[in-house]
Parts: sequence; C-alpha cells; structure tokens
Amino acid sequence: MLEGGLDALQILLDPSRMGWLALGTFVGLCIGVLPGLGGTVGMSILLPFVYGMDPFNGVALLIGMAAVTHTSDTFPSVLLGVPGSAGSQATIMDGYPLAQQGQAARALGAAFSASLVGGLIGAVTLFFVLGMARPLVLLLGSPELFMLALLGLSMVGVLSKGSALSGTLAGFLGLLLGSVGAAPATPEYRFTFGALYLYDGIPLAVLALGLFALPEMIDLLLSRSKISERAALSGSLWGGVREAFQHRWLMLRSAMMGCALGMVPGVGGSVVDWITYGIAAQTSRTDNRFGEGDIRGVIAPESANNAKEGGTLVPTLLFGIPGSGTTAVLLGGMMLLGLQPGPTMLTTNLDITLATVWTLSIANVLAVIACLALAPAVARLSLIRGQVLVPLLLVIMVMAAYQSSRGWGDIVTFFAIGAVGWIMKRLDWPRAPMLIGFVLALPAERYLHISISRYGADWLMRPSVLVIGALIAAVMAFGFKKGPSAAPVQVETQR
Amino acid sequence: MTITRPRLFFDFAVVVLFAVAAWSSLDFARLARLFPLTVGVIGTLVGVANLGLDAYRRKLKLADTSEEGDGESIEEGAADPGPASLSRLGYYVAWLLLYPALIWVFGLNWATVAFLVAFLRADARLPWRSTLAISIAMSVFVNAAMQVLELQWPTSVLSDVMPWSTGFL
Repeated sequence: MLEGGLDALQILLDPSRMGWLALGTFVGLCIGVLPGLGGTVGMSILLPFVYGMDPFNGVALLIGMAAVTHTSDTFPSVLLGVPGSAGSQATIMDGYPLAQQGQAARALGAAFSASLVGGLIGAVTLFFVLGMARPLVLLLGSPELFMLALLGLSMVGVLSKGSALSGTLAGFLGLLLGSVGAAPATPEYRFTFGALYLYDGIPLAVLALGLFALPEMIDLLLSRSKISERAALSGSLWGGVREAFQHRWLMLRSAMMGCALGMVPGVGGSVVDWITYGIAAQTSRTDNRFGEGDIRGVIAPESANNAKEGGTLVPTLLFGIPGSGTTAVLLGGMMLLGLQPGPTMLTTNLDITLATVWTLSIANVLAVIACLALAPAVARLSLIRGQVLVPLLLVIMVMAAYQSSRGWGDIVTFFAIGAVGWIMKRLDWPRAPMLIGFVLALPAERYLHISISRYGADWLMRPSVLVIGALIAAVMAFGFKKGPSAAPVQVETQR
Repeated sequence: MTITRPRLFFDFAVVVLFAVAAWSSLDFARLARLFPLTVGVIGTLVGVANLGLDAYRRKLKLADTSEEGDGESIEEGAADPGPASLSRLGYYVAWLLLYPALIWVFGLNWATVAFLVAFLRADARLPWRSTLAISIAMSVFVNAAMQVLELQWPTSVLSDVMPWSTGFL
C-alpha cells in the first residue's frame, strides 16, 4: 500500500493533474463561501464537465472541490452568522460572537488551521482503513453488495430530516427514477413514454442540479435576506492559527470523531458539527465560554467537518454506498469516468483510490493557504446578494445541465425536477435519499440480477446476506421508533 | 414538521406514482420487470403507510389545536405560504423560466446578456455600469466555456429567421 501510495502521488503531481486539482479547490472555495450552496451543488455543477476526462484528472477535480467546501464555509458563518453549508452551523455559535467582538480574523485563523488538521487526519484515516478493509472487501460478492446498497439506502432514509417513512420513500423514488431508460439485463426500455431523450435515462447531473441547486436558488431569491455590508477582518489571523495548535488535542479528538461519524451513511455534516461541538462544550474544564466567543467552539466543529470527508469516502469507495448527496454525485461522477466503486477500487483501480487520498490532503493544504492569504478578498464574496448571485448561477447551471445530453430535454428536465425538488423541500420531504437511490439503482439492479442468475434463490440464505438483512431491519425499526425528526439529525443535503 | 394539506396531497401523489409504476412494469419482459415491480410494490405499501401516518398526525394536531382553542392554524409555516408568498414565488419562477425562453428565441449569447441586464436592473437594482460589466463578463465566460467544451446549442428562432446573425448567436 505504501509503495502504491507513492506511485499514486507521483501520478498526481503531474502538472496537468495538479491544475485540475487546483481548479476543483478554487471551485470548492467559492461554493463554500457563498451561503446557500454546498458540496452537492458544487459537485452537480462540475459533474457534466468530467465526461470523457482522464480518471485521475476527474477525481482530482471532484475530490478537490468536495474536500474544501468545509474550509471556506467558515467565512459566512463567522462574518455574517449565516452557515456557508450544513457543516458549519455549529461554528456560528462561537465564531459569530467572536466577529462581533472584533476578533473575526482570530476565529478564521483558528478555523482554517483546524480544517487543515482535520482534513489531513481524514485523509490519513482513509488510507489506513483502505488497507485494513481490503481483505474484507474482497470477500464480498454480488449478494452482499446488493444488500449493502439496501443498507446504505435504509440508513440514509431513516436518518433523514423528517420521518423515516418519507426518507425511505424518497430513496425508493430515486430507485424508480434510476430505472428509467434501458434495462441493464435485457434489451428493453422502461418508462420512456416514447421520448427519445429518456432512452438513456435521466442524466445524473440534471437530477442533482434540479433537485438541489434550483430549489436553493429559488429560496435565495425569496428570502431577500439583508446581509450586513461589513465584513471587517479585525483581530489577528495568525494569532488564531497559534491558538488552534495550542488546542491540538481538541483538534485531534474532534477530527477522529468526525472521521468515524463520516463513515456511517446518512450522518451528515450538520450532525458531525453539532456532536463535536456539544462534546467539546461539555468536556471543557477551564473557562467555559461556549456560545459567547470561545475559540474552542470554532476549533472542534471545523476540525470534525473536514475530517468527515475522509470518513464518507470509506463506504463510497469500498462499497459504492454514498452517505450523502455530495458523495452520491461523486459516485455518479466516478461511474462517468469508467470507475466502478466497490472491490475493484482496491484491486485494479487502487492507484486512483490512493490518488483520491492524496487529493484530499493536497486540496486541504491548498485551500488553507488560499484562505489565509486571500482572507480579505474571499470574505467579500460572502457579501454578494442572492439577487445578484442567482442569475449568474442560473446561467452556469443551465449550461451544466445542457452539457449532459446536449439537448433541450436536459433543460426541460432540469426545471421539471427543480420544481419537484422545491416542493419536496417545502413539504419537509428529504431529497438526499432520492439522489442516493437514483445513483444506486443501476448497480443494485445489476447485483440483484447477477445474484439471481448465479445463485438462484439460495443467495438469500447466505449468512452475510442474513446478517445485513437483520441490520436493515434494525435500522428501519429504529427509524420508525424515532418518529419525525425535529432534532438536527439530518442527512447532508445541498448544504 | 408540519403536516399540511399540500403535504398530504404530495404523499398521495407519491402512492399513485408507485402504484402506476408497478402496474406499468407488468408489461415489461421478465428480466426488466423484476426491479421496478419490486420497487413499485414496496413503494406503494410504504407510501400508503406514510400517508396514513401523516393523516393521523394531522388529525391529532387538529384535535389538539381545537381543544386549546387558540385558533392557531396548522397550516402556518413555510409549507403553506400565503398569497403574497405565492405571488412572489410566481414572480421569480417566471424570471427563471424567462432565461430558457430567451435562449430558444434569441440563442444563448443574446439571451444571457438580455436576461442578466433585465434581472440585475429590474430586481437586483444594480447600477447600469455594474449590470453591463457583469453581463458582458458572463457572456465572455459563456463563450469561452462553449469553445472549451465544444458545446453547440440548437439554432434559435431568430437565427432561423436571420441566418446572418449565427456568427454571434
């Protein structure tokens, strides 16, 4: 693995690949800074552009973007009291009071340092987990992979905002939408209603953009929120950096927690944020000023939410089970690049998997350098009003949607799905399970067909299948017992 | 989580969708039928349970509300916007749909400039200088992106009527 890691680094350090990584990092920084967007929106915008790319370049672009949104999302959280993404909600608790006390730069410096350490720990953990999980993953056959897909979907559905039933249904809606078009096992077209556009199915980028990005655009316009015109960066940026390293054990602890929680499908950025914030507040022994501008209230969640990205890649890469909207789109992107998440990521595509680990690390370093160096300029981005931002994003999104199949069908489908996505958002129906179900539909159906054709009905009696089935039942029972979620236990969506 | 009438209607629509999908999948070949039929049947059953549960919760909430007598409407909240919100929603949806309509008539470049100028002036109320700068910059970006991605947009109504304009459109 170590030798493979060094080989992967050498491949990644090619100037053209580093260029794509830098571009992805830049996009991720912009997405994180702008309130109301998030990793899923950024991933959806980039997805159409990876068609036909070299897999290393595509992975560098996509992972580079996803790795750093949680670094730059600190800007609006600290400066404006508005979360840049779901993973920076808890940062507001102490980051915004610090800004109000004239210590915004100190808060940002501490947050960036914590993000860097968290991101690197997430990458290192991913590397070691991959090595340890390899023998286990190679034992998995199509029956186990099918059941794991169902398990991932059930967890995401149950942990969604709102009721477990609506979350599960949203997942099934995604599975249904994913079966539109050509059937994998036989030459038949399903649910196309005679429309040539649907013969290849609904493009993932169009679904993701419509489901997540367009509803956010609409709500940004409707909110017309007045944003402060001040974005003063008073205080000492490097003072904040020093303080973060003075609390290094808190950073490490929070990062490990973030990584571990990230490995559980359905646990989103906001959950990780709040859990680590709460634990930091409750376990602090000295001078507890959490909620009033305690720097530890910035360090803990920021370290955790960056480390989470490494954790979420474990089920995504190893089992093909995305744990969030962002990783669902990433999974789709990897399929577009010709990569099949699952056991092959540790065998024939091990070099790309290890390149992913390096991308996570390098992107986090680049992001922190950029944020520290360009803090005043980047801070101004978060002041852009929705009324100015939305039309620009609409142009980009229409182009991104059109890139999928290069037809008017993309545009029509984009707006139609956008309408459904907005309605779902307004009616408290979770959307991430729908996207995850859509991404899992094709592989799940393939695994099912392979299982049936190879094992007949006997695959249902395999011990591993029964164990995973019992887990699914336990997850569903827990979900129905939990009832509708009013607590911030929610799957990371577009934020 | 507020259980409103629109939500119940949406729950019902989902049940119908799954039921229709399950029924339609009976016409597919055997190997093509299995997955959507299974998803449709399970979705219908779970959907009915979800609809029933939501209806029950709403009934309980209505009963609590009428007992308290505080007149609080269960319909409050973002899930049931009032007339003013709906008209603002319609206003912005119209703006968002204007852009593809303009593309269809005028082509991508003209549509981008026209849409941005119109929106940034009429709604965002930016000064002319900023509006024009942003619109032109965005048009340049769009052109550059189209070149890099080798994107060809379908011909517009205007380019069909005035073919000489296709050089820019």
